[in-house]
Amino acid sequence: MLMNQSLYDLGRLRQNYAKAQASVNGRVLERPSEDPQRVVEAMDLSGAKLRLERATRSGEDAREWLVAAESSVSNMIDRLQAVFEVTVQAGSPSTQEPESREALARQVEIIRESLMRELNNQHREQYLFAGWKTDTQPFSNGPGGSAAYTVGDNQLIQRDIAPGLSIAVNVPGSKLVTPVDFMKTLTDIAADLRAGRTLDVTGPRAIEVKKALDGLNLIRADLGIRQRQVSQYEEFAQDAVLVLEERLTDLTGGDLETAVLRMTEAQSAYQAALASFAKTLPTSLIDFMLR
Amino acid sequence: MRIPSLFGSFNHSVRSMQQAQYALTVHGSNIAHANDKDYTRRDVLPFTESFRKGPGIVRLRDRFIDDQFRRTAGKLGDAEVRQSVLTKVEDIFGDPVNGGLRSALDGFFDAWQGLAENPSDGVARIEVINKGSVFAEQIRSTYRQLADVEQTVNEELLTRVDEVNNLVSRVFDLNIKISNLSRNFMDDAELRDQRDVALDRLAELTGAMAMDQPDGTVRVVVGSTVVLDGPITTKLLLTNTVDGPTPTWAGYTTPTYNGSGTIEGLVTVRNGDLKTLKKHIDDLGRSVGNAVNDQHLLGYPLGGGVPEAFFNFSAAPADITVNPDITPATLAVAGTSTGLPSDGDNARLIAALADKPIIESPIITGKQEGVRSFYRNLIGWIGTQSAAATQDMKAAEAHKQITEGQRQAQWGVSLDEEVAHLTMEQKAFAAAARVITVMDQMLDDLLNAVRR
Repeated sequence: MLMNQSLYDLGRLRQNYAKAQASVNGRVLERPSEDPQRVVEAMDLSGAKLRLERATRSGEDAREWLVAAESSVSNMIDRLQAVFEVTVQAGSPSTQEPESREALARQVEIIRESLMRELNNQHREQYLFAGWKTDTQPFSNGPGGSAAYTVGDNQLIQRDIAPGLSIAVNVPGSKLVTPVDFMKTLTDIAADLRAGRTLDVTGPRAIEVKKALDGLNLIRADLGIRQRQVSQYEEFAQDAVLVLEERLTDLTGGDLETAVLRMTEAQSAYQAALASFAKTLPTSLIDFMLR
Repeated sequence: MRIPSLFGSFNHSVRSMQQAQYALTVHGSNIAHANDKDYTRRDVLPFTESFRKGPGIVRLRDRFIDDQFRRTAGKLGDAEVRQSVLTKVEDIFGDPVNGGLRSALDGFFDAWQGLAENPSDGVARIEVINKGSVFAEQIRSTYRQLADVEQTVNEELLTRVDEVNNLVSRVFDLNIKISNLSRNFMDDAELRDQRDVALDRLAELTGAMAMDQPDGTVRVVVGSTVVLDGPITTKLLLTNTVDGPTPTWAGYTTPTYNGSGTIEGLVTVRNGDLKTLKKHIDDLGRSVGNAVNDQHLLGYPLGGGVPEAFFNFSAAPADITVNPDITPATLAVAGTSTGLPSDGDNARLIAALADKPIIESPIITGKQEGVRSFYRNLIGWIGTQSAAATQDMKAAEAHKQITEGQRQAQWGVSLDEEVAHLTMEQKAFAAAARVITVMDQMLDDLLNAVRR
């Protein structure tokens, strides 16, 4: 009876030792039955971490789009600003000569060409201002030098930057040339300069350029706000992922110091039981009688 | 009082020597079986009647402790098998946090999310189809493995039922032999030990209880069924039912087997936990498949076109595969019929299905929840069931250990005691021999006195 009980107890201590050793190796939750509550909590945390990581990747992609769009809009603003300066310059007596006016008209046309390139700018081989039709150039030259947004689309491209929160990362091209089709305005300015209609250039055309600048500035501000939102949620997601990882490590990997301590205790208990078993291995009457 | 004759005294001494010699044999046998846990310690009864050929032997067995042990063995048999099967089930699901089906489920919906952000990316499309295949394969594989465990349980059931019938036959044979020996006052201790071993095993398998009869036989009862009574034995059969092979007693239609032990454990775990799990896995596959199909059919491939179902099902449970007609070009990613290159609306809606309530909770009947929550609750359910089974098994094991300890304390062999008895009987033998020597000397003196 003594032997059987001792063997049973040794078996139990051995199991405890093996379990403590597994936790030192980082294997705390190998089976749901070990601690169902912790396992389920670990699954929740792992799922949340996955969603945050996906949101972080979407946020990075969103930021790239927004930066590319903002950069193009900023370039357009710079160019239109240059055109505005030309309209102011057109009123100066020094630019009344046909040669001067021709030079200014040519300058405006060059700016117009670069603006057309910006309107058809791409990000990763996708047109930035084409809505969902990102594989097709959205703008071409329309009648009277206008910007024909013929193959573009007005849909917004969404990115989920946080669980439950999505943000538009593009600007439909139609919004850039509304309410002022500045491409037509530039064509008209060049024509007016060549025709000597400087009053039109310094008057209504300049106002149109100003209105276009205001519109583009609003769009750029909106893009900036969206970028800031993305950055804020990115930071939040990064912090949250760190917290989740720490909590997940606690749940599934455990604290190494505690695990080592528990393993040492289990080992000591097992060795003590072995020593005690060896000492109390039953000596019977036979042993005494044989001496 | 009459003074006995010298020869009468001789007879007493001889009987005393025989008693001591027989006792030495019995105690020697006890010592020889010191490590045999199935052996019942014996002792020698004193001579009581002159016509008896030898002293009687008594087995120091306690029926109450035996009954306690067998009840516990029955509970342990039940708990052990349940714990064993649920451990296998846990192995099927693998790492609960990062492994197997969970990873496939997350990967599938994550792929759709990735595609929603890059609808015209060919690699993202291939990824969705691949992840869909992985998910379908995981569902099929998990179901198949559960079915394999069920098959193993059925095979185990067949083996155990055969073992039960063999044990009942054995007890029946031993009953006859013991009855014959007992009637003729012969030593039947060894056969009774063998019968007790068979009854212990029967108790573990079926929760059988044995009742001693006056003729030395035992009557065996399992649940409410008398399995062995005198010349009558009842065979345990396996009848095919919708749940699988089910144990029933031959000649009985109702009630069916209502014993406990390993057999009951196998039936309960097969008809309960395993069946429920298989249904849940089938539900998971079908719910995800149907929801994805419904949404997929509302979308459009890029460039326009007619959408098709993403998954195919057959009538067999959990038989889900990706539709072979689904290619990177025919994935219904777009939300509008024009299917524009950056239109990933339908893909986003499919990705959102992961958290949409489309499946009944495995824990709360009638409550709809998302597939991620469903899987998490399913793992939690498996964990709690397995933990409970492990607890039951440990409790039953501990209880059995205690009753085993009581058995060993009651009729286990203590070397100290047996050696002490040996010494006593040896001395008794020597003393009786000495008496004979004295008697012999006295007889010599008498004869010499008469001769002179």
